[in-house]
Amino acid sequence: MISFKNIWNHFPFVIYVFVWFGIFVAGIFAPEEAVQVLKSNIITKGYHISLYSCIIMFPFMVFYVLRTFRFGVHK
Amino acid sequence: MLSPDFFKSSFEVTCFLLFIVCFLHSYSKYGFQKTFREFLAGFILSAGCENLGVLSGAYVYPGFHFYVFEIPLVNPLSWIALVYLVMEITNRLFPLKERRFLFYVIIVSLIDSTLALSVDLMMDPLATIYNWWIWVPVDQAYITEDVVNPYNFDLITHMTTPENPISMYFENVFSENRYPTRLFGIPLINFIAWFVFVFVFSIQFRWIESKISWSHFKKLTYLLLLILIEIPILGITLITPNI
Repeated sequence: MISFKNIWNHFPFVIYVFVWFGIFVAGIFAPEEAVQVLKSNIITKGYHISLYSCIIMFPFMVFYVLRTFRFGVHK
Repeated sequence: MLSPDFFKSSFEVTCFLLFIVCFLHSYSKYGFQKTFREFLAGFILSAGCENLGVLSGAYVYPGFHFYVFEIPLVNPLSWIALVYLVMEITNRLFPLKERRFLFYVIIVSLIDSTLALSVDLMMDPLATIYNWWIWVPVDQAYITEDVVNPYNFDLITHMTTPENPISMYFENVFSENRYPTRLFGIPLINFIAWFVFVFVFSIQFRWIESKISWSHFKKLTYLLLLILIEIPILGITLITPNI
């Protein structure tokens, strides 16, 4: 069961997920004209940032969840 | 509601909140003295180096409400909050091993830096899109008028580098193409600097905290001395290569 104590225990990870979510949303809502200022070939649309944030940050989140909850590191 | 204006304002407020919550979390877990030590040292390191960056003419932070000299107050506050978060995550995943302490500290500090870099890699393109900070000369930062508000904020402040000896020293470095090597549209040196800063801070903080016999005052003094030595060294080393 999710309690305040549980959330407080895993607070750094919760905030990390929160930061990722903020990046994800901000990427989706980024105005296309503003994205052009990056002059990047890799990021040409706002949602690309959301996508890359998943690719770069998701593996770590999965690793944390598996290691902490499945393999019992510092429950 | 989800306009660039909204994101600009919410960024500043969220960074303040992030710092407060992280400080409270650290306080509840480690007590005041360790929390004070970590957050003060991180704040001074980040504020010192960022101010050097702005004074050198590398970038500007316009349109915020509260400043520490040339940088927004939320900048060092959120930096140390983020470093605290990644260090806590690493501590939980890789608990301290008494044996081979030096090797352990180097490895976990590398993981800290990698985690912080993963956030920065995505945060910096967003920062440029929403004009939280501006890497290019201000006259080139304009986006098509009438389509996107050029700067996405109302408060016109800190738009240009103030005249100062540091910017005069770096004038030749930035005279031609400023930071030509870019990743996701952001100067590559920015990501390198992030990695190095977090690594250096993490390794020295962990090393000092491992000195159980040292008093709080001694730990604080050593940490601050190290930070004060590092600021000019890291600042100059990472600003100068205009790669």
